[in-house]
Order: sequence, then C-alpha cells, then structure tokens
Amino acid sequence: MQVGPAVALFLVFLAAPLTVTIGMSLFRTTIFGVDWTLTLANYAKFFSEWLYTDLLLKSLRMAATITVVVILISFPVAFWLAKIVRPGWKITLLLLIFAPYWVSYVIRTYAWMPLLGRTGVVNYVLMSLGIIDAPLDVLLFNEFSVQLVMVYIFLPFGMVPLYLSMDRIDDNLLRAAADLGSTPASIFRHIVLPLSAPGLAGGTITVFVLAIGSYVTPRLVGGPSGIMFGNLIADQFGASFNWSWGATLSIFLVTATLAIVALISSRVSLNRIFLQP
Amino acid sequence: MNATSASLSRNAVGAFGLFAVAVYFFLYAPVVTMVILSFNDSIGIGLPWGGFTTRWYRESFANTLAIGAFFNSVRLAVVVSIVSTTLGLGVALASRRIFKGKALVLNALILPLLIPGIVLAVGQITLFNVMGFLPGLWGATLLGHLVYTVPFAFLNIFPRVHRFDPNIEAAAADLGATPWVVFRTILLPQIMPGLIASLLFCFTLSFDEFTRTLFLIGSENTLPVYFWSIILTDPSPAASAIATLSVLFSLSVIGGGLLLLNLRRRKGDSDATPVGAH
Amino acid sequence: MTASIDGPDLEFSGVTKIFSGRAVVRRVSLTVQPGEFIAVLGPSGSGKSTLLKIAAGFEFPDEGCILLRGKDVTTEPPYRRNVNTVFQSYALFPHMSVADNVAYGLRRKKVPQTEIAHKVKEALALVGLHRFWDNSPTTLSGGEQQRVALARALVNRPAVLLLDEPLSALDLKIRRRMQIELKRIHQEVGTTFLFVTHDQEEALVMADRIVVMREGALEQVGTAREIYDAPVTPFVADFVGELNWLDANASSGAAILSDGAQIKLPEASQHRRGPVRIGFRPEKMRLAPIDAVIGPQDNGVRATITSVTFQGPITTVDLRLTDGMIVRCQSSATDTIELPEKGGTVLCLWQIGSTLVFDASPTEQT
Repeated sequence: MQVGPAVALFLVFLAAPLTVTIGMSLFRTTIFGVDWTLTLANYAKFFSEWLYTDLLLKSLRMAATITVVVILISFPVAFWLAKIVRPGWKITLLLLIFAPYWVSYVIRTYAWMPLLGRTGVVNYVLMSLGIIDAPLDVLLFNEFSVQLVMVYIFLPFGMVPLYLSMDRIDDNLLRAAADLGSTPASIFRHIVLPLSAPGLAGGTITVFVLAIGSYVTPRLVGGPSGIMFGNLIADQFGASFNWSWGATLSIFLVTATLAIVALISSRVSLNRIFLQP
Repeated sequence: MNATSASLSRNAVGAFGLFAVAVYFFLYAPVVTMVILSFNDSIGIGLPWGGFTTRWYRESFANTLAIGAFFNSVRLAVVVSIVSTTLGLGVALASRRIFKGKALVLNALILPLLIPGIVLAVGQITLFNVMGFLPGLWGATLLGHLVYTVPFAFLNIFPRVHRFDPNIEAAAADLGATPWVVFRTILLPQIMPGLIASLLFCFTLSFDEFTRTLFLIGSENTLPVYFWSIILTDPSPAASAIATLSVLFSLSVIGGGLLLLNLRRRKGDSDATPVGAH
Repeated sequence: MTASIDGPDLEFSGVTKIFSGRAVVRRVSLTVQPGEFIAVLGPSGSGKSTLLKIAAGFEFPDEGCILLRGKDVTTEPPYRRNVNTVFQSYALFPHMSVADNVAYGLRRKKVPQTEIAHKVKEALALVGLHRFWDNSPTTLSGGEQQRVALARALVNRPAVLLLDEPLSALDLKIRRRMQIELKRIHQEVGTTFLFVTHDQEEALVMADRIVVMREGALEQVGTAREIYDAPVTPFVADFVGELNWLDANASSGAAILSDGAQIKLPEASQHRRGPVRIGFRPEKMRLAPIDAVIGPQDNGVRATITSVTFQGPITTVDLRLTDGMIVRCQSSATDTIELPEKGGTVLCLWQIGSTLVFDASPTEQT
C-alpha cells in the first residue's frame, strides 16, 4: 500500500513512455502525420548514413572525456577534503562544493557566455593587453567549449560521491598501511581506491548519464561543431517534427547509455552505489 | 593535523591544497563574474565595463513575464517536493519489509537516474500526445518532474529509515502506542532530517529543472524556460540579473533549510511537553 | 503491589508458531502465577524469544491461545495488551530524555500530567537513576540504559514484564550486578517476570522457576534445583551445567562399563536394563588415592590424570578412564593439594544419589 502511488507513477510515467518510444520507433512520420504501418525503416535509416552513428560515437567520446576529466579533478580534491583539511574548515569547504548543486545548469552554462563570448571577459583582457587584435571566436561554439563547460557543471556530481566514500575510510587504515611501510602511491592503489569504489562508480555513472544526454550546454556554447546526440533528438520534436525518427534516436541513446552503466555496475553493484550512500 | 598528513610529505600536502584552491576558483569564477557583470551599465553581457547600475535588477522586478514564470516555478517546486517526499517516504518505509516485487520496485526507482533526461522527456511527451493530452505545467510537467525527483527523495530518506532499529518502534507499540502514534512520536522525529533534506533537494531539483520542462510545458513558462528564451534571443545583462536572483533564491531556500535542520538538532525534540519539573 | 486477581497472570495454551514451514514454537503450554520470576532458558533457535514475542503481541500464534489474567489476548496487538517488554538492545527512544522515555507509556494512557511526573520519579528512583532525569539516553552506559528500559516498562504496572535477554549485551561484571538488582526490583514491585535467556547460570541465579526450551518445545519446567539435580533429559542435563558422560550397559541395579567397572544406579533407575548413558557433574566428583575404599553410598572408577588446570577458586582435572572415556573433575582449590601429578592414577568418587541415568539414544548430543 505504501508503494502503490509510487509504483503507479512509475508505471504511467516511466514504463509507459519507454514503451511508447519503442512503439513509435516502429512507424514512420510523413508530412501527413504518422503512418501507422509497422516498419523498421527508421533503424535502416540510422545505419544507412554514417552521420548518425558518427554523432552517437562522438557524443559517447565527449561524454567519456568529460567523465574522465571530472573524476581526475575530483579525486585529489575529495581526498584533500576527506583526509587532509583541518576539521574547522571542512564544513565551509564542503558547502562550497555542494552549493553549485543548487544552481541551475542552464545558469551555470550561461555564466560562461560573458566570459568566453566575442565581447567576453577573456577576449577583452587579451585585447587590452595587446596579445590579440581582434576578438577570438574559437573560445566559444566548438567541441572544446562544450567539454570545458560540462566539466565545470558536472564537477560537484563527481566530487560529492567520491568525498562521501573517502570520508568513510577509517583513518587508522591509512596509518596502519603507512606504518607497515606502504608508500603513498601504494596506499592509494591498495586502500583508498578500492574503498572509494562505490563513490567512484556513482560519480562516474551520474556524470556520464548527465553528459551523454546533454541538450542545454551544446545548444548554448556548442555551435555547429559542438552539437551532441541529445540535440539531434530534441530537433525531431521541435522544428523537424519527426517524432518516430526522434524515438528511434532515443532508443539508440538509451541503449548505449544503459550498456555503459551495465559495464560499470558489473564491477560495483548499483545497490551498493545508490542505496548505501 | 589530520591522519594522512603523517604519511604524506609537506610538499604533497601543499600540492593537494594548491590544486584544490585552483578547482574552487574554477568552480566559482564564472558565476562570480556573471554576478559582477549583472551590475554593468552596458547592453552587452561581457565587457567593457560601462559603470555600476542596478537598472537590470529594477527591470527584472518590473518584468511581469519573469515574475509570472518565477511563481510558476515556485508553486510547481513546492508541490513536487511535497508529493515526491511523500511517495519516497512510502517506498522507504515499505522497503524495510520483504514484499513481492521489492527488488523490481527499488530498481525501477533507480532507473530514472540512469536514463538521460531527454530520452524520458521525449518519451513522456510522445505518450501524452498519443493519449490526446495537451502538455502543460500541472499535468505533463508535474508528472515529468515527479519521475525525476522521487528517486532522489527515496535516496535521501531510505538511509535514515533503514538505520532505524525496528525494536524501538516495537517498544513504543509495547507501551501502548497505536501504529499511527508510533509513526508520529517515534519514527517521524527520527527521520525528520531525511525528510527535510528530501524536501529541499526535490524543491531545488524541480525549481532548476529545464530540459524535461522545455518539452512538457507547452506554452506555459517556468523561470528556467523563460530564462532560456531570453538568452537564446536577446542576451543582455538583464539575463545575468535574473540568473543572479534565481541563484540567490535557490541558495537561500537551501540555507534556510540547513539552518532549520541545525536548530532542530540543537533543540532536541520531545514527544510532547517535557515531563514536569522535579 | 500487583493487583491480586485469582488465577494465573499469564497462560500459554497449546501455542504453535510456524515460520516458513518450520515450527519454531511447538504446542507450548505454560502457566505463570502472579509474582513469579520465570526464566525461559534455551540455546539460540530454541524458540524462547519467539515465545516472548507471542506474549508481547509482536507475533501471533498459528495455533493455541494466550490468556492474560484470564482474558484471551491471542489476537490483540501489542498496544492493547497489559504487558511490557525490556529489549536486549534497550530500544530507548533516542530523541527523548530519560524522563520522557519513562513517561511514554503513561502518556499513551492519558494519565494526568502531575501523576506522570510523580510516577516517573518513583520509577527512576526504583532503578537508581533519578539523577539522570533530563539526560539523553544516548549519553548513558549500557547498564544505565537497561535500567531506563526497565523503569520505562515497570512504570506502567504491567500484568507481566517480559525481558528479552536484557543483560546479554552487558559485560560480565555489570551483568552480575544487574542480576542482583533485577532480583531486588522483582521483590520490591512484585510484578510477574518472564525472563528469556540463553545463560544457564543467569537462569539458575535469578528465577523461581526455569523453563528449558529446545527446538520450539518445552523440555522441562521446574525450580533451579530440580532442573540442575534432576534433569529429565540428557539435553537439559547438558545444557544446564557441565556433565560427564559414560556409556554403559545396565543390568540388575548396576551399569557395567566396557572395561568391566561397575557403576551402581540410584533407586529410581534400578529397573533399567540394556544400554544406558550415565551422567554425573564434575563438581560432584572427588578424587581419592588409588587404594582408597569406595564407600557404600559412592560410585568409584579408576582414571589417569591427563591435565590439571588451576583456575583460581577452582581446579579442573581432566582424566581418562581405563576404557578410554574422558571425564572432568572440578573442585575447590584446597581439596586438590595432595593430588598426584599429571600421569598419576587416582580413584574418581561420586555419590550414587547424584548419578543420572538416561536411555542410550544414538542421536543425543548437543
């Protein structure tokens, strides 16, 4: 009885949409609306042109890069917060990591525009210093700017779970290891890394799923070369109005995402990641 | 100093610190810049600096579209946070018992965290369309937000409920408390921090939500959707001002909530008026 | 102090509880008289805690019924039963003060505020914790927490107080002190106590009557003396205290060991014939020089000393009989001064009256 409403909600608004998406992908949208004859034409179309697979692969590559960079930056900071910082400072520094969680990612993406735009702070400073004569356009609207901004946006999602995992590591373990003659590198390899596995896996999954489904950041700072798969899907429901094609693209995106999540969760179980935070 | 410092050289500790400071700078520099530039008396969103002005804020407060969108967002977020916390609490309470399909329910609950938001959003709008419903704030958008926030509500409440010794509830029942009284006087005070955290979390998730909302809301507006329309069409320091106000609002909601949690912890809590003086 | 209504305070009648196809409590019938202190003793998995939960209303029996002061409460939920439980884990409400914890049950009964204050004070004084009135239970030691739990239950004047291994989380010294304390409180308030424990010594020390449970069924009910000196099954004999076991063959009033040695049987077992198991307690045995005379009231067998362990107040001597069986002798230190060293041969003596005789059943061993 206690789970009833939640189950109903999820049946209607999680299971049903996914089912409808699969169903929709089996029809074709024409200028007259949806043609209700079953067909695999959309799937054939996906594989007939390299354009789509290329974009999917590129998006996967970008999401992977973003995830790796986020984790690489998060690890030392989380370790510093959990094991080095003096207790008096800890709360403040933690709150500063958490705070961006509460700021909309649209705003956090937008915040880069006054920085990197044509009339942005970076261009202005470089020009005033005489380093460049005309504003650089390459700062925004390319693949790099998309990745930079997404690393910025998703950093807290990597740092927080890693911190929570590391904070739970008993200090005595580290002392004991050092006492037994371990080098810092081997302490990291044999103690810190395995014990922070749930946080590592949690952070990796969260950042990857958020990055691969991105729509806002590529749209705002991506330009034509920074476009991602999520934008292609969104376009089918906007200007192009080709819902069945959009549904097909959705299925490819969700399949690729879940495959990668499954790969990670084969190492650390999802229950361990999400239910024992 | 801390435990690990003992096993790390001073230089290594310094390097960690320096790196962390750089990361904090990276985290805050863009937003701080945006806030500063929201006071720039110039029509561009970047530099040059044209002098200090509060004009963009005054304009924002006079902007009925923005104000309307803001109140839509707040109302939606309030409803979403209350409903999802209630649903999350239900599942968390149930998850202590064994019931048929428990594993399935828990997995389904995690699933929205593993599926890109845009996939669910387009699926949901397709479903609505197939069923002949129109998109909108209180139908499609509310449901879309709930699917997204209920997992977070559950994850905030579950650890507290899970950690709670069932014998303590048994003891209360044993002392004559009916199930409802046990819930009200024993369980609820104990899991309150989790519930408050869930309310706060779901509130801000919903308040800031954009991609799902964009597809599900139709012709109505929330603050993020309105903000999106102005930065796509007409970015000006006014956008920075609206963004700054929105950030201030989110942070003060969270700050207020944290303060509340802290006060509760200090005050302690009792089941009724304390037992008379002695 | 307890209302003295005629008849028992608590009755289990043919109570059976089945968990996933297995009967964890089997046809238990037991009558508890007003003011009694009853210990339910058994190893883990014997069903003793389930029996207590059934009395409290946390579990409902599949068969049989529970009468509380003559009223059938079999299907009543816990909050409608006039019994209270003291939990092994204390189960204090962590968000309430000590006084609020104790007042909880009275508040549920809508007792007037002034009366609550008075009763809470009285209950805390009873357990010696009146100074801790305003403390949070989380700041108290384990022993103190258990006293709060006791006060919280007793303040409601339950018909029966149920105690679920209340002392097993405490360390040995505090446990000993709490045993005495509990006994005193029981005498002071006169409430009926049903006390579940797996510690046989605790049961012997505290209870008026002991109920030994095994695999869900009652094995024996009796006073401490009866249970200890006259166990009705090898299980009870073995579980309550240590026992030396000898396999023998009975015929005409005596049992013959495989090496031919004779064990005289007590009066009640004279009729036995065929394979039997002989039991006697280590502390009822004395050692004597090999050439000592075996008295008419005594049994005696020869044995070789395999080890002597000094344990402070007692000394344990392990011996091997000539047919290879191992026995143990425990005696207070002074008795063993002139013992031969390890390897020596001695005579083991014990009274015929303290010889226990059971059927030799091949499966019998804990």
